[in-house]
Amino acid sequence: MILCEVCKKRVATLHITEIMADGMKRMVHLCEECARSEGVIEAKQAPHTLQQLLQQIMEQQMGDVSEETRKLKCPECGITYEEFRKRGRFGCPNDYRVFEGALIGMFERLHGASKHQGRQYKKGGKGASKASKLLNLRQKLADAVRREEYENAAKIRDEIKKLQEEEENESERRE
Amino acid sequence: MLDKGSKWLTQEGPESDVVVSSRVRLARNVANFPFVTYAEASQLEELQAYLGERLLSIIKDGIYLKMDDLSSVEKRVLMERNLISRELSESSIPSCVVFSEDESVAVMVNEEDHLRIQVVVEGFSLNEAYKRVSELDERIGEEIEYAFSERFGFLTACPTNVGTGLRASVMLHLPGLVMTRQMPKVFETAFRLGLAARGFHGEGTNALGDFYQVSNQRSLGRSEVSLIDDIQSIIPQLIRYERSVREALVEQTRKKLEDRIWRAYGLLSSCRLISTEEALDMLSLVRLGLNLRMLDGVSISEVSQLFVLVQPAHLQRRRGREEMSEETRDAERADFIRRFFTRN
Repeated sequence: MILCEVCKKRVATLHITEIMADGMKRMVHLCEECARSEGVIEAKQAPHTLQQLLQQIMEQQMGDVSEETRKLKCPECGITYEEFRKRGRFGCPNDYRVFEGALIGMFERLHGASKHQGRQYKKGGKGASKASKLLNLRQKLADAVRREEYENAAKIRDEIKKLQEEEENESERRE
Repeated sequence: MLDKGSKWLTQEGPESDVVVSSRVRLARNVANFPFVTYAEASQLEELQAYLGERLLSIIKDGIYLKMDDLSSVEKRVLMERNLISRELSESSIPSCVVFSEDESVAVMVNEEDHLRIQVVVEGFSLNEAYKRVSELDERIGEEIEYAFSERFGFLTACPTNVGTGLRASVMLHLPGLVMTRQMPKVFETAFRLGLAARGFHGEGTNALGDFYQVSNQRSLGRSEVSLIDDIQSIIPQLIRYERSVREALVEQTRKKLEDRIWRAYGLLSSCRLISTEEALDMLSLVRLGLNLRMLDGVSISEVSQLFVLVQPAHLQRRRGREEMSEETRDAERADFIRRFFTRN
């Protein structure tokens, strides 16, 4: 077993024959790490798309993330920061708020910035919030039924009915 | 739908000898709702129906197609026409697409995000595409509440799209640069500018038909207009580059070039079997020939449509067959192309 000539610690796995200017040959024995740092073999391919960079960030050992951050959990969808890192996808919009601190660094790496500079969006008019309220309520209803919280479910159903009636009256008035 | 290409494809836009089309897409999600990967099927089904209905009321001459109602061949037809992504065509999640009759506008529901709003315009027209997509985006945003934070902008399922949620891209035809092996330089330049360049058909940098796509990668920390400017600035250079290479090829190797182009024309007019790859390669030469005025007998718009119509799912669907062996498809393709070329 030959040890690496550079670090003298790791086992040499690359055995390179160097042909010198005078025609003499010489064997060089290197371990993979030293070969990379000496530039003998190429460093890991630099990412050339944003997706690849994201992959790299996600695969990184979570050593750079504190235990506390890892356990951050979104109260709305239940995803933890750790799970988000593993999957590479968020669970719901609220995650952005819960993981905000950790995200700033990630976005700096991915986009070179972490603050939005584009178009500002004002939550839409009455129509929009009512529509998404309805969607939201139906979702809450399904959750409640699944968890067998029938009293709660009944309350939500009533709210939905009320909103739907309101919508119907409004559209009738419009016509 | 299957006999003709997208209506917008039949028009030639600015710089169409090199730039085929410009596209801008915006990623949006509904507020207070789980993202696609975390939502339950029932929620997604409901969202799909709801958004589909809203979109139909907003998009003029809109067509609504629910993914569950389509066969896999039909989905691939949509993908070949760039109305849906490959991801959506292979997904089993409740989803749909709503697109305009001329196919310049297409909105996917429940692909990676709740909404992927896309506008395509012929030729080099990024500003036009952006104007149209942002108008549409505003109207949709009034009907539906988007997930948005002041700090991070439009919130998306994947961190690579957060902020503006914008991906702008330009599709280029670069046979000259390919022939003279200059594509690596193009990729390098794009990369250095923070843009992504890849072959349009086929995986990674392999490009069938010499079609390439240049797009932005970042979406956060810059305004929409400045992101589009990034691409706007590199395209004229690429156009000049490709044109000068074509000129040089004509000057220095005219006969050889003519011969290649006319051989391609001849092949397409008479072959009995032809694969997608070969068809696209030959069509690329014909498109070049038309742009260099070395060729006539078929119009550029017909050639542009053929690029789509000869693809496998289109052929299969035209014959109404779900299963078709490769040889049958190759024969179908050859017949279809021959009929096109000998029409005049």
